[in-house]
Amino acid sequence: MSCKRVRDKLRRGAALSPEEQEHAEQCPACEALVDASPVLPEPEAPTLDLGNLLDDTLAQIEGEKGVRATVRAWPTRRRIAAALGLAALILIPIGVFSPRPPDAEFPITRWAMLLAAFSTVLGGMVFRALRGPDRSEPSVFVLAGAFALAAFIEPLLPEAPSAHAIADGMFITETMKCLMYGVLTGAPVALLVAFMDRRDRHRPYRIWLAGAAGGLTGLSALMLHCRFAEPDHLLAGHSTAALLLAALTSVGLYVADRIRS
Amino acid sequence: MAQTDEQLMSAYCAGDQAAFRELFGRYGERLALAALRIVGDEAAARDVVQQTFLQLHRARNDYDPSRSFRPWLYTIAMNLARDERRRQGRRREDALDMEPEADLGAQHPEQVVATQERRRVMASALATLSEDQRQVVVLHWYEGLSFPEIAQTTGAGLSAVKVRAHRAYKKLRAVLGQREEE
Repeated sequence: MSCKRVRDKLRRGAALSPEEQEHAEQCPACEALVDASPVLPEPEAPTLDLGNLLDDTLAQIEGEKGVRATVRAWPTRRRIAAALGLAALILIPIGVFSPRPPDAEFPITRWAMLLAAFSTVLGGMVFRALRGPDRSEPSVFVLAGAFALAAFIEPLLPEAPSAHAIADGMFITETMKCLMYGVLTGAPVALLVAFMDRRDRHRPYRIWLAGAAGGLTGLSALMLHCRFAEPDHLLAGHSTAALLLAALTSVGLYVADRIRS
Repeated sequence: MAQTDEQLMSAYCAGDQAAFRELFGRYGERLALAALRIVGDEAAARDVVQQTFLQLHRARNDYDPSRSFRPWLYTIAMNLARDERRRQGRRREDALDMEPEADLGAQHPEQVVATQERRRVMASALATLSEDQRQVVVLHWYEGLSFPEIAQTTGAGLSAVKVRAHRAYKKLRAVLGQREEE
């Protein structure tokens, strides 16, 4: 409370007590404030005409109706749970009913660790995307790096031994199949995250988050389902699916923001 | 006895629209002034205020009544103001935009000119600070938030906030002191 007392007195132009002066000598922030206070303007309360701002705001709030308004007003924990729940609802059936064929040669431990890592990054992505402006905003650079790493790590790692190989002449076909599979399985998560996002305008540093969450879901779906392990296929089919979904969602959000504004 | 901010917000969460009006009345202008010092444009500052209260509405189910309302509200406003400033993408060198007009009607014309010049100089000085430092000065000196409240608002640690304050006030002293000498 000493810092607050010092500041309040200086704002009023009042003299500091000996105790407050002693505090200011020991506190670098207060010391700098005491030093600057003679040249700082008194924070008087000038008028600023807000006009009809209250009525405009109330009208905008009154217009918040429908499913989207209801979902956006959910507590953040519930929105995050909904997005992660949807990802689980997509991935678990794939893992149970449509998994990659049994393959004795395939390094299952490495595969499981990668899947766990993707899930962790997905969780971080959803958490960050749905964190509203009523909370502090941690940097997205670490998440951006994690997403890029997740998208490219499989093709960059030494090729996993596998009993399955792409037949000659089928590279483009199999790649396009995986591309579509990844985009379609990830799209619902991307769309849901974008739908639940409370912001109406997206800055470039965060516009890609919803799409990246979808991209990671699609990447995980491909890991669970696709039997091929060739790096070229993983790069062209899996990595591209994740990046494509992130890009498409970002463009969609940008266009929506422009239309709204 | 007037209701506290926390009581008003809880009342609004329970559906009391009058509580929202009361909160807007208490904070609308203050937030506009704080936003103006960040974004440097009156129209943009008003937009920040409107968006702040809209986000307050959307985030009402996230509000924790055990926490102080003011830092929570300023968190929203400052995040939106920072986004708006980055969206504008230009440094606010135009001092006249950054300082709101006071009610100068009662002042002598010479005093009015002097006041406006002081404001222009202060706004220029604020523009020399980093975004983080400027935010701390606006919240600490102008808006009267405590260092712990500023830490809560910005998401930075208490030590980091104090370091920013120390550097900001030192820089302001140097810049404003130099201009006084001139």
